[in-house]
Amino acid sequence: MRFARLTYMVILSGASAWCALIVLAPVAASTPAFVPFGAILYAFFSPLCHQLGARSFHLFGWPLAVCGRCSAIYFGFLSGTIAYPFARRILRGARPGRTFLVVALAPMILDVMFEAAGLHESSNALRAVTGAWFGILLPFLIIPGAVEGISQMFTQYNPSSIQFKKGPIDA
Amino acid sequence: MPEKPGKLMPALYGGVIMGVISGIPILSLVNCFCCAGIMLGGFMAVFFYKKDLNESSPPLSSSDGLGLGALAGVAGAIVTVILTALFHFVFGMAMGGGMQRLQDMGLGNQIPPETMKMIQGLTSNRGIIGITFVFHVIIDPLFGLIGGLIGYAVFKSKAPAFTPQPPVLPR
Repeated sequence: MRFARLTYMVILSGASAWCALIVLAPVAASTPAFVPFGAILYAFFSPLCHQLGARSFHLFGWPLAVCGRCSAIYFGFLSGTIAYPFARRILRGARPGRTFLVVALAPMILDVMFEAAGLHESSNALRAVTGAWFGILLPFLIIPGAVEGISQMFTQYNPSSIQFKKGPIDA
Repeated sequence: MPEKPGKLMPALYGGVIMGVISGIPILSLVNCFCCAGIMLGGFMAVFFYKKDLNESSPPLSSSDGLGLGALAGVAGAIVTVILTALFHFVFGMAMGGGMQRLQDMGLGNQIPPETMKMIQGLTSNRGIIGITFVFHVIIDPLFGLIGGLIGYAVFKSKAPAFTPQPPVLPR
């Protein structure tokens, strides 16, 4: 239980810090004293995203550090992580698998494929919605595994900390 | 008790996939999709490991997914740096795309010349290898770990992998 909370808090803190950096880039770029810091943030995120202005959301006249779809995925992930402890009760111990991954990915993949094939022209709103759908669902796929995996790792190396419980360890 | 197969080779295969996608200039565009190439490396490491498991082996556990993803990330970072150095020095392909994007955004005019010079120095000469290494050593294990957890969620067996045995009561 201790590891479950700790693992969840690490994931939540990491996702919060990541999203804060994405927003901080345009804030710094629009503040004369912090322009170099903004430039470093844009440079940091440049290998992760194409950063095209036309496909990005803007703040104070500057694009976010990553494009609209990527921003939606990361902020969706943060929202999903925040919602996870509440929604977990609705799931009642169900463990998402490959069907869940397909459902999470399908809208985004279809949007990208149809746009690449010239069948439809995607908009920033559609990119954001399909990205956010994947981002919100992703924590439900990885948090149970992360919590269980960390618990396994620590109990494996510290046998005295094994707690005998009925059923698998979960958050 | 049957032992689990080694994790090193599957992680190395995953790392090579990750490194090839991240280190080759045109292929690295895949990472513009929220580090999809890096996550694919972690995912594939779990896939190769799952293939090595036989009927007598213990089932795939979430700690395997975590470990394989992180290991593949470390291997991927090394392969990426080697390939980046190769393309940079042998083929003369600069990876300073971030610098160009800063200019396109109009940030280049607002950054003090000395800061601009520092950023240019880091992204256009041999410093790129150091920057690439630092960036990938942080990012690859992180996103590889997410890929490994997605792999675990997809390839896990239906039965729970971690069910601690009840304690034996003293007679």
